[in-house]
Amino acid sequence: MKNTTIKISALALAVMAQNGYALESLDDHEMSGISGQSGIAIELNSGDISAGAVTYTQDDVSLVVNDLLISDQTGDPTYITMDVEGDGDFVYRAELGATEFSADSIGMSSATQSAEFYGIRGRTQGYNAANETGLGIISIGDDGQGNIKVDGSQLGLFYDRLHFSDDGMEIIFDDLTLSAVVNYGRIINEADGLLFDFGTESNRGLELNFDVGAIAMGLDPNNPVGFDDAIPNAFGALSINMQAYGTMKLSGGGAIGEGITFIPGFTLVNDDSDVPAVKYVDDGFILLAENLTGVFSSTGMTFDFEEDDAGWPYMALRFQDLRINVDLQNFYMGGTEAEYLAGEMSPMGSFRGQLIFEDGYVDKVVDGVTTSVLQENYIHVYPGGNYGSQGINTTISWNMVSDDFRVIEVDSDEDGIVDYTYNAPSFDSTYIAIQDDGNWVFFNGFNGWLEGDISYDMTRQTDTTNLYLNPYDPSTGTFSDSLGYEGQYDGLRIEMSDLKGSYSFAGVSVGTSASEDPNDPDSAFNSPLMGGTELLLALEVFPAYDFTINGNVTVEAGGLIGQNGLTLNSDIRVTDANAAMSVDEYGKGVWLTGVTYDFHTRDGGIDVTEDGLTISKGLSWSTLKVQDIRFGDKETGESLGTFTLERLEDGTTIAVASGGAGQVCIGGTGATQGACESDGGRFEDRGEEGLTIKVNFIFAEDDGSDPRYAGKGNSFSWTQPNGTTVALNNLSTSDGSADTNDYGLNVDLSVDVARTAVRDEDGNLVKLVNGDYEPFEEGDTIAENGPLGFAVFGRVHFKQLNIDGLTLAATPTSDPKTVINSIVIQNADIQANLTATPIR
Amino acid sequence: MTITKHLSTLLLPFMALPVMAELKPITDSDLTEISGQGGVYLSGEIAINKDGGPLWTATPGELDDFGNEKVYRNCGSDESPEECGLRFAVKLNSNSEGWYVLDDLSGGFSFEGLTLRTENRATAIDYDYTTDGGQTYTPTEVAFDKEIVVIGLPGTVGFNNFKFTYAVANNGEWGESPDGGVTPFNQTDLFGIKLDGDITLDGNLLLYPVN
Repeated sequence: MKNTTIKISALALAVMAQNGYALESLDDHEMSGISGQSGIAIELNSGDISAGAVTYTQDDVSLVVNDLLISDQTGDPTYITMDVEGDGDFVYRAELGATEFSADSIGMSSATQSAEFYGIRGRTQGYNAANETGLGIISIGDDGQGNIKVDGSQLGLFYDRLHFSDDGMEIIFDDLTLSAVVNYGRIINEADGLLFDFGTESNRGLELNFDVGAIAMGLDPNNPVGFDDAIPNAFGALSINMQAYGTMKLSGGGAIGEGITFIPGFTLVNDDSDVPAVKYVDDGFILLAENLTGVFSSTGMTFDFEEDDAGWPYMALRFQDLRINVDLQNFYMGGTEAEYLAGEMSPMGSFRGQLIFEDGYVDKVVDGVTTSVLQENYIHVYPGGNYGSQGINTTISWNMVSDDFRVIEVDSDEDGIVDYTYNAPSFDSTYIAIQDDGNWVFFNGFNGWLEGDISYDMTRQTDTTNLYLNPYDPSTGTFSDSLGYEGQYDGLRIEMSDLKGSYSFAGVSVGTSASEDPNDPDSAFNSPLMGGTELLLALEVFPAYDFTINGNVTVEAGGLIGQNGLTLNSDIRVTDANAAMSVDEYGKGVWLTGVTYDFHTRDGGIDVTEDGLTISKGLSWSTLKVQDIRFGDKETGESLGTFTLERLEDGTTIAVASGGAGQVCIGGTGATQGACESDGGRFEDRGEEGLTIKVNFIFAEDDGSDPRYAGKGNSFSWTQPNGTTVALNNLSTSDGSADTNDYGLNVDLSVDVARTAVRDEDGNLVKLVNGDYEPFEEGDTIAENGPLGFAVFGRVHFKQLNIDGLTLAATPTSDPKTVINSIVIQNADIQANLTATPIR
Repeated sequence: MTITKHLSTLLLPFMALPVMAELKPITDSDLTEISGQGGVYLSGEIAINKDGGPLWTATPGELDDFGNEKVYRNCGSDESPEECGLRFAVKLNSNSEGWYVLDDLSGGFSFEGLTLRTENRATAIDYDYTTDGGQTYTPTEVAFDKEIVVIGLPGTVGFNNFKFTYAVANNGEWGESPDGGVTPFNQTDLFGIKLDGDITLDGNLLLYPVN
């Protein structure tokens, strides 16, 4: 380790005793008279400060900052005043000068190993009175009850640039503001540690602000981006403004040896109608969250420095339990900030979620045997990465849980005898909920675990050979061990190694309220659990899924649409997967088991546009191979055979926008209520809120003209257990007789919560009264009184779909016989407008 | 166990219950017992080209969802133009010049109360049941104890302008010459079907896994 040297080359220190004309001794009486009027002021020109290494050590494992240099480039002095104010509070105030700083690396070391996370450099601006950046205030006093009061403390920093570098490639934060203000803060000394008290909901202790003008990347180590250089394409601008209140308890000692134990019990909130909680701007179009609350609680989290069996050092964060509640009142997507400020945008609706992490036993397949294994919650952060000498590796393990569903007993006729029972979600459930025009839909009873390694490295593309390999060989039906392209792409490479996990949902429930009152008949918590996620299968959202993921996603700043956004390249293989097509809360349903899903994306991206969020798949190819389609249990259910789906897409996009199906006519046609009803239809207005997802598949054909398409295509084959194989070969889209392929195959899904028609056994329309179905009364209408349902309006439309035949073979390897030579489907617009309600 | 080898090559061997005495419809009391097992009750409609299609229009100059002009094709008369429905064309043999066509397929059917759920069945009919080495087969109820998918039919299904035309043509793509312009496109409409009004569909459709 280098010797630590601190050089202070040009120190100008002026100490002035304010009001101190004469240096005389003061008696006690005089002292009390001038209390609060004294203080010192320091003007500091620090020059250059350098340190070879600064280390912090726990249990013989150190966090090391190497070659730290802080340079006072501009000559701006830092003004420091220290004063005891009239109320006895000590106030340290530093108006900071502008500085440049750098550290070649921040890493960790143990007795035998050391590695580096990243380097850092940046330039801050000096004190700015207007926005109170470049300012640090520490205010310490006594609250009169023996606790330390820190009200009025604050820190504000403005960075012209802040760069994090990994082997010379950088992530750049441009015009970054970080600030924290303590309005109310108490440090309470307890027997077993320190309790930080930041007030209550009505007396919010903390204000936190993060604002960055642009996040960009500099990928050429030989030509680093200077602090005054224009920045290349950026991810966009992001600002987060929150208040916080609650407590955080700190005590010494981690999970193992030295360390820190902290117990959070705090709330982050923004209910300010003038300042959004989160705002992201991409080429002028916004994603914006308004009125956001997050509540965090745990019985204890620990933070330790440790080393593994091979001596590699890491940081460990562990928690036996953690509960996070999120409530987002309004979420806006797409549109410009001006449109938002002018009130011209409708929100997507409200969101609510509860995540419960708890250590617990889960079923895993170990060496082919299903075993109950303790699943803990932790994240281990290692320095080093997988590429070059710097980077980050994480080993993660988490377990999300939900209590079992509640069995609700219903005595409709109040005769003391239970007429029937139904299953309702537990209040202690991990869930996601969406409010749409006042109605709630809950995706309930999430149980899931995840474990494995994820690494983060900045990488640069140097090799373009084998960029378009397809690891799947259709002639043998096997995958090569290689995941495809073995080089790196430009950007931040997120690499997953044996990332294993599993999740399941108990089901969907709907209601006009989200109250946790068990006696509220309108609450989605007290409604029966039902299926419904099946309606989202077109989006590859499975109600339950077990998986192992290997591969990478590389994220580059700068989008495909405009300058801002993200560019994505990926090679991913999901193996040993079991995906439910439809499943009940007992795990029975229709399963795809033994699934391998290999997929690749070249120059895909994510952008915010006028219409919402657009995910572009670029050139992508994939193979989905399902070993068994099983009915019933995923392990023991009867198999219907195997199928393989190969896809080649060029230009597929997925657009997510706010607003659901709007006004629909069911059972007829007509854009207005009158026109619809006169055609025998039922008119439904599903409101302005809701969610619409449009997938525009562009299926490409390998006709020899594009070498990137070679060895890939779109086909489907199904082999029954007896070996008979049916195959649809070479599916492609086109724009009719025009020689273009722009329209593609479109799947549009609009999701709403809406009232619908439900009939009893006698065919009479019914409504929900106190949790029970009752026949409609005179004057009741479906729009006003029908039971709430989860409404999905799905539409598949395309100009032309070509299929080069349907073949049949006695066995997967025998010569296939052509049943149909060619299929052409033109001018298709197929709609399914379905509303799901529970079976009662 | 093989439930039915006779049907094993069918995609999904399901049966409408009213014609199968052994596979009883689920009674209301049975339904009560399985209530809340995650199934869904679906209401709504499934429709094909109810508002025209993306490729053709009977109104010249109309644009598709992406702002490109549609191709003119009128499936009505000059006096009362009609949007065309979906066209589905198949050619069975590569040597054949003819295509079988379902053209102008459009319309919808709506329903209230199609249910979907999985259910354990203790017994099922084994159609391969034989006691004389395959001389005769006697369909017999045997132990099954597996999950099946139960589709509860909605009772009444309303057809709304459901129609199609059966035709033969010399090309799969409408209006396109099969040989680059030498032979003009030719299609002969054989007959058309139109369905309007309600039909009754009672009972359940059971999907049994079969190997």
